[in-house]
Amino acid sequence: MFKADLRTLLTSDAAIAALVGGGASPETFRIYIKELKQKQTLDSIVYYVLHGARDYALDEPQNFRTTFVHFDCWSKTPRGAEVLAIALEALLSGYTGTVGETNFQYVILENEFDTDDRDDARDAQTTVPLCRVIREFQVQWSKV
Amino acid sequence: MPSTPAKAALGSSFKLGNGASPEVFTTVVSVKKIGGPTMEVATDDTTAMDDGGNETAIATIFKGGMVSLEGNFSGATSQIALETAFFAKSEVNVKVLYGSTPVRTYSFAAIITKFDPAAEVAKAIVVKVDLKVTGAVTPS
Repeated sequence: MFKADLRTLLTSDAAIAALVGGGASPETFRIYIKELKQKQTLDSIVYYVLHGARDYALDEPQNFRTTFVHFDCWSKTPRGAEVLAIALEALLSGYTGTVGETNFQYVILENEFDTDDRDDARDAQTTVPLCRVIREFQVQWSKV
Repeated sequence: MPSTPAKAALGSSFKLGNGASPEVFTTVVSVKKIGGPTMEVATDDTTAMDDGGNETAIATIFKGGMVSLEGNFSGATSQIALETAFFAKSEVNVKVLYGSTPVRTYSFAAIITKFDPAAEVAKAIVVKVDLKVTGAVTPS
C-alpha cells in the first residue's frame, strides 16, 4: 500500500491540492502513477518507484524499506513546473509521519533537476507542449 | 554427482542466557552478521638443535577468542538484555548457532566487551557487539 499511501499524503496537502487538485475527491487529483494522463495539459504530478531495497536479518526480514521515488512535475510553463516541484519538496523533504499502513520514517531529497523535453511531452499525447521539473526522493519506511 | 550444497546463513542465530536455573536462551533479534567464536589452540615453540632444522611445537592452552555481532538496533527486548549485560560487566552464558538444519551450536560463557550503536542519515540504526569468550567452548 506504499504507493497508495504516498498518494494520500500528497492529496492531503493543501499546497499540492491548490496546484493539482481536481475537486473535492482525492480521486480526481491530477496525480498519476507512471505516466501522464492522455491529453492532460493542466499542472500534474507523475510518480513512480525507481528502485527499492529491503533489509534482511538472520532471523527474519526486517520491517524497514528504502524506496527511491521519482516525481515529474508537469506544467505549461517552466515557472509552473517549478512551483509544483517546490510544493512537493516542502511537503516531502524531511517528512516523518504515518499515513494508512505506511510509517514514513524519513524522506530525503536525493536529486533535483530541470528538463527541456517539450517534445517528449508531445509524444506523451498531450495536446500542447509541457514543461517538466524532476524531484527524486529516498523514502525510508516501514509497515504499521 | 552433485557436490554437497553450501548452506544459506538464514536461521543462524545468537542466543543469550538469562542466568536462571534451568537457564533459558533467547534469540537476539535483527542480527545480520555473526563472527566467531574465533577459537584457537595456542602453541609453544619446542624447536631444538637436534630437530633436523625443522620447527616443532606443542599445543598449550585453548583460546575461545571473540564473538562479533552486527545488526539493526530497534531497542527490542532481546537487544536491551544484551545492553544490560554489557553495563553489568557480568559473565553471561551464550550460544552461537550456525545454520538451521543441520545446526552447529557453540556454547560458552562470555563477557560483553563492546556495545556500539551507530546512526547514519540514510540508513537504519545499527549496533555492533563484541564478546570475549571465557572458559571452554562446547560444540554440539
